[in-house]
Amino acid sequence: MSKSRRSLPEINAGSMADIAFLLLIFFLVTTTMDVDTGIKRKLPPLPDEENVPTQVDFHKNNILIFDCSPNSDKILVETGADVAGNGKPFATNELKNEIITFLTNFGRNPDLSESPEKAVLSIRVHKKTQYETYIEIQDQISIAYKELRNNEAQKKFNKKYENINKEQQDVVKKAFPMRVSESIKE
Amino acid sequence: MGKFKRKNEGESPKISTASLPDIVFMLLFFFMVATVLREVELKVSNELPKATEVSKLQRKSLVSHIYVGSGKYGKWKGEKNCLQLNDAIAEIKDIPAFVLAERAARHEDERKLIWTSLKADNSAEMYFIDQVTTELRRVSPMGHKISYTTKKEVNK
Repeated sequence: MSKSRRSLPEINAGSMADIAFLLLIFFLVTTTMDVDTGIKRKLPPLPDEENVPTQVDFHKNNILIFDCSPNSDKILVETGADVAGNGKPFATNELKNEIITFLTNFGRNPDLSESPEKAVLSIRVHKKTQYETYIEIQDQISIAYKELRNNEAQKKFNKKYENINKEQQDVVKKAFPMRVSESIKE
Repeated sequence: MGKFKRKNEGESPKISTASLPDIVFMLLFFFMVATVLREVELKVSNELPKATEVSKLQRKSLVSHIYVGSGKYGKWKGEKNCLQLNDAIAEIKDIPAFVLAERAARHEDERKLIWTSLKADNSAEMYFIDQVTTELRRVSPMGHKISYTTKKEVNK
């Protein structure tokens, strides 16, 4: 019997690393690590014949309107109680405070909302308004609601909003429901 | 007494490279798991807006993408508001069919969990976005889950 039949010849594993490197470089090049991030919203269904939205008797002061014209970089903020065109111009990053004042009014100022549950934020875009402006407003709304819900959660449960459980979140959400309406102007 | 005589004096010991493949394989598997191959070729310009208060879309397999921007190639070049579904430029009226196809491709239990990621360019105009969202609402009698995809901006 020859020596080589008893012990199998060892396979040289030296090139294994090269093969693995090759694959590694391929995946390194093709990989995209970015996770999709975005502002989440739920779009309501379109109203149809069976599902006509019931006319709610809104107090006009419960609506806060953001009017974004494509010609100016300021947003006109007016409450529903204002006469049209009577809004005050704001830079987009100032909107957060306006929203918070509006939502947490609790009927003190008769021109602002009665309560956060009844309040509606309305974004009024024009046909040529840039998407960027719209997103900035949506972002400001998100920031404002996050702050309010965080405060509420802190008050009720002594924790941050993201750290409380689902039922508790629902309680907080019910106190500050996000109601955004959108309309488009000719 | 030469009993403990050093064998290779003056020569530094060789580093074993036997575990090198293991290390490389480990990295390889990491990237294989983390990687997502880009599924579509963008035919519209797509400069996403920035926002601070954003949330992640968790399950990539349950996200369908709609792109809006100005066209980059061919007869759409320079046209301001273009819509891209899958790999091709499409029209507004193609959206319902696209959404239904996306739904049909998923398992029945998962259909409710589908998110639509709207990737629109900064300079897209709102009348066009409105047309897109109207179509989405039309095919979703229970409401439509949408994520306005943005880049994350660090707090100022």
